[in-house]
Amino acid sequence: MFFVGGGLALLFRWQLAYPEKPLPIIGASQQYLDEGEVVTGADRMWEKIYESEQEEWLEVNMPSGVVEPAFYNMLFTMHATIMVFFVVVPILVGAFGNFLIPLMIGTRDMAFPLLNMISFWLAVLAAIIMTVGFFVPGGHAAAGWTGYAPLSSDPQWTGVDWGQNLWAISLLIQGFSSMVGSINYITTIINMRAPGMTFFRLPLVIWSLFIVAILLLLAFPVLSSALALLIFDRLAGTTFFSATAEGGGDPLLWQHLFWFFGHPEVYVLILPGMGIASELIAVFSRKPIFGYRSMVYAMISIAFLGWIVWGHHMFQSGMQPGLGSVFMTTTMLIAVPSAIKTFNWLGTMFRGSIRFTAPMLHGIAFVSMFVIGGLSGIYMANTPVDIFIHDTYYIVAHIHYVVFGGSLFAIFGGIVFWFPKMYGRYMNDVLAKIHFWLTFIAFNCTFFPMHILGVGGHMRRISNPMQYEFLQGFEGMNIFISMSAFTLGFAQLILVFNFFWSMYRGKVAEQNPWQVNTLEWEAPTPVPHGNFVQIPTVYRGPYEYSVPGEESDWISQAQPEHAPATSGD
Amino acid sequence: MSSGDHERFAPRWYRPRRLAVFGVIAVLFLLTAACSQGIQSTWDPIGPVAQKQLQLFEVLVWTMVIVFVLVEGALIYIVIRYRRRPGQPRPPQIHGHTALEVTWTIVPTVLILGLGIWSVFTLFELDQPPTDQGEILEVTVTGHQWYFEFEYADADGNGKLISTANDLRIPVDRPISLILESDDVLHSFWVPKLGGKVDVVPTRQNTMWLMADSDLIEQQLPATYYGQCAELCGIAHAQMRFRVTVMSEEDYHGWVREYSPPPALTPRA
Repeated sequence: MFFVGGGLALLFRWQLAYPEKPLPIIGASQQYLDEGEVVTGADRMWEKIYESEQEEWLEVNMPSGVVEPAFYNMLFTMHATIMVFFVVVPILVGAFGNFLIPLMIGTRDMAFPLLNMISFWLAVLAAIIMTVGFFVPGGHAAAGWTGYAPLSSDPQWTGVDWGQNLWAISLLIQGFSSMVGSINYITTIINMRAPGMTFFRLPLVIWSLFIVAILLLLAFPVLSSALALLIFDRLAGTTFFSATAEGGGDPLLWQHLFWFFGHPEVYVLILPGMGIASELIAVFSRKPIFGYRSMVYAMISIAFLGWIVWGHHMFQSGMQPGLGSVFMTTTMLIAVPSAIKTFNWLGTMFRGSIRFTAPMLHGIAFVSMFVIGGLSGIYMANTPVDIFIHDTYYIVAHIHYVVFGGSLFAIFGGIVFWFPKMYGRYMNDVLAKIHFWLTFIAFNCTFFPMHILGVGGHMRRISNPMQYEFLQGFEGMNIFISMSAFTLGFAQLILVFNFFWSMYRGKVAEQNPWQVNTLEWEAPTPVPHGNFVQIPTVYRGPYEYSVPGEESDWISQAQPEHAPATSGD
Repeated sequence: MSSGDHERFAPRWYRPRRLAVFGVIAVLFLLTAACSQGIQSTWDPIGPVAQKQLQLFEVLVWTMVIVFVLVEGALIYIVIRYRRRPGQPRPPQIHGHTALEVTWTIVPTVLILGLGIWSVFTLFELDQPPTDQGEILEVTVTGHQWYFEFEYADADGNGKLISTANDLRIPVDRPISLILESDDVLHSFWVPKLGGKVDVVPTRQNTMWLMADSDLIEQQLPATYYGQCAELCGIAHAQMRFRVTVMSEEDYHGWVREYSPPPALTPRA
């Protein structure tokens, strides 16, 4: 029941997110087109297509096809909000979590099936509310996905009224969805593992989901509180984040609360991706994961350190250098477990027998792009350097390298990999690889130049950079980025098409088409209600590939012929 | 189990092509990594704050480039060298390697702590204006939606009050101590060529210092540089920029002398 729910959530989130994705770039590129007087063709197109009241909306927000600054502010706000809260977390944690956890730990269902359904429907409700925000007068939230007060806490500063309120309410509900889901995941993983499935025989993706569930459970209450305070400020006249000293409020409070949640949140975005990458890399190198226990401890360290670095988002808020130094040190230290994981992935592939299947390509891309994102993070961790690059496109480049280059490639890889388990068919291999290459190339062309923009002084969140004399030299680069971004966006249609087409016309797959050890492949396909015909007993770790003396190069975790092996480290 | 594998797990013709693509991408990376010479570029500071930031930045660039080349290079090598080929023996069972793992834990930690300590020193240095580089000029900066207001409480040493909008004039070779406030929402004060960036937060006073160094400025004075608001502050955030004009000491005093506040408007009777 819930793996189908997971699959549906995946599709639902997909539709919701993709219309948003190109928009901030469209806004920017239309500005540039406008400077060059090329916009008349777009004029005519808009008029022809939208003849009803939609045109009026366009007139207000995009007169002559040009994006107004207020509209632009809304676009990047909603792009980020939707991608973070309604795409990456629902797919990685919601969809993959629901689908993989019971199957991979060898149990029939989640610990609390009804609670799980509640979690799903709360997320749907949150998404509906978020969508409604687009249609209210004043437009949707426009204070950035970070929603800094007092810009966000008083409608007079942005002109956005109910949009921002709905934004806050929606995220509050989404928070409950995550928290409730987390309770389920934690309980299920602790209590419902199949006989023989010790903690150190869990696949790394399950470890990552377990850790992420704990992070979400502890972090979301802070965001929920901040959102509640924000709603009170906006609707009940309180002054928690007030811009004036009279009410006793402090705008910095919002930043602390938001980032205390926000930093663990970004580790939530990356950790399951790391888990998926570990699966893909071990399976397609036909070799055990290098350093299984270190991988687990590294994920735990990242999660733990993630709680004490939030100040690095606030280095420029007027922080004393002593405090800045503390946050700088803890932030730089997070690079160490991340580096350990990277070396371990390399170590897994080293002397392996690498098969370049579509999922593996994504796994390798994950590692390489995560390295870039991680390295750029070191610059930002460094407070004096961050003084320059804070709030520039350098930050945008970093964010996208880790979330897109990291999490999203892991998601794509995971989808292609587990598709045969979900639907009993392969996704079309040629299309999957074309999608991969187009995405990989377009992604790098879009986001790598942003490092250069940032270092050159190009700020974030500005609707028209060309009015600044010193940014005019970057016009060419901005156009290149926009064109690459369009390509990137359209390339995703290949995946969407492949997904739906393969559900009906894909090549039929046998039960364990990739020859994988983990338990989910023991269940029949399509997975029935109750998952397994018989609950398996686990005899070995998840990464026993190419064991000498065995006939095949893989052994299912549930296969009993030999004495139980030591856990995979 | 192994028949039909080969076909499923990547046909041979595939591999040389992916090497070529990797190669092309690698070259593109290196090309695009070339320094940009934008006007506001960080590579061209005109003041000690920006200069110290740049020094640290350069150290990081070199370190990270080396790490990048090593790690991505290792990745590319491994991916090519250990691709599946027919007739290969099975991969060995390597579950870990303690000595290697300890090394690659300690080395990054040491490297990072080293960089961190250097940065801490720089951070403290950048926090307070130097007291031995000339008389400190104090200016109060107030962020508004959507302009910066500059108030000199004592522009000429005799208590003259000056107030400008989006127009910061400073004498060269003297530290300028800024007190930053906001009238409404968060803004952020940033002059890239001079360095330093601090948010202006309503209900708070933040501080920052700048200095224009005549040794670093290539043009004739007075020279104009740009600053911009670097924190989303509403609809016209993108339009919120200001100019910083660096003048010689005499020119600066000349400007102060000639400055007179705009006449107060008297209401009609």
